[in-house]
Amino acid sequence: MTPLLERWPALANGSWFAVPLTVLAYLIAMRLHQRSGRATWAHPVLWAVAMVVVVLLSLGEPYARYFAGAQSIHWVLGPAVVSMAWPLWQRLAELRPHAVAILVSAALGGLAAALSAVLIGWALGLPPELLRSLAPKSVTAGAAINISEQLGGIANLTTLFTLITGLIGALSAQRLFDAMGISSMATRGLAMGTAAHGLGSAQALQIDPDCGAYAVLALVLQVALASLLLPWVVPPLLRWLLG
Amino acid sequence: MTAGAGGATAAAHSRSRRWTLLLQGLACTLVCLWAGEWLARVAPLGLTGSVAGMLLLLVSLQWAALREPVAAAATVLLGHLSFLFIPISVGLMIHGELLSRYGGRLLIAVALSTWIGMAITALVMQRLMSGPAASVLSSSRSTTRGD
Repeated sequence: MTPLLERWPALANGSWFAVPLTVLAYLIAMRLHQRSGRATWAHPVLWAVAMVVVVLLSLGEPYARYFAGAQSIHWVLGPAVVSMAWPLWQRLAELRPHAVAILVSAALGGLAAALSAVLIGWALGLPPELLRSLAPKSVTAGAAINISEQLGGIANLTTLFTLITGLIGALSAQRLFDAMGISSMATRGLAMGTAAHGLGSAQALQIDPDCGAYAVLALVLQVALASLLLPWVVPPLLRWLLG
Repeated sequence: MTAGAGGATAAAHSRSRRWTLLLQGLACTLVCLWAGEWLARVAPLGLTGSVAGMLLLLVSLQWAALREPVAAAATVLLGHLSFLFIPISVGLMIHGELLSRYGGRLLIAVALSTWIGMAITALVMQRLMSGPAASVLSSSRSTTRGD
């Protein structure tokens, strides 16, 4: 490694190949996705992540070093979330008359996701700290961590559950809505943002601009709704379940 | 990646103008992010810095001069949004032990509750939107404001 690269703080403790590896894995995964005719199972994130994990494991490179090296990519998520204001603003005028319907469905859907996660986890015999960490999994990662700590969960695990939720939501949403006979892109987007936060919204933005705008709206609403509602609803439920 | 912001500009200047718009838009976005992070620290509303920043940008878009640059930046930033989730997603690999112990049950709980959440949201929305006022929303595509 050249001295210049070592002096760059982001690279000093990180794998130098983290960024090129991530970009390359994404490009290959995108190619695969196109070749497959945009099949759901070929979602680029899924395969890019799998490729990176396989490379890191076979090189014996620890995740912390990879993440430190790929920090610059992760950092762009901040500005990207901010720029979601644009698709949202474009549709603000047509959203306004439906504010109540949107608010009610986002609140009920968000509560259903959180409470059903706790109930199903409890029924399957998961330990209490996992149940607490499961509750905020439909909220975008940064906010989910705050809520998880408020509930007495483990932030690190919540990040993981949030991620799996996003992947499952993004991968299965279209098939679920097709099966349910829901054709409105607005409704699809709202549901994807409510239950599958950022990854769901990313997928929605790639499907259709309307779908994306409603997903972004739902993601923002869910941050506010879950922060307000979950600390009131989840602790009593857990007390009742766990006796 | 496309950095298109419309197509109204003259061909000769469009390239450099696109870059100017993009850089201006990125600057606006970063200022909002920075202000949002400050706001999230000062006022603990449970909002993250980036979500607070988005709300600030949303308010700032009332100012028409910002719209074209912000649109250019958003097109670039959101074009490959899922790419940005890769580094954090690779973090799955450090939870191997936990996943091997509870993985199956966790996956069932997470998957079912995600589907339940999406289904309930969609059904309630569809129900509330089935009135006569809903024709705007249920049409497959609606007009876009501000282009």
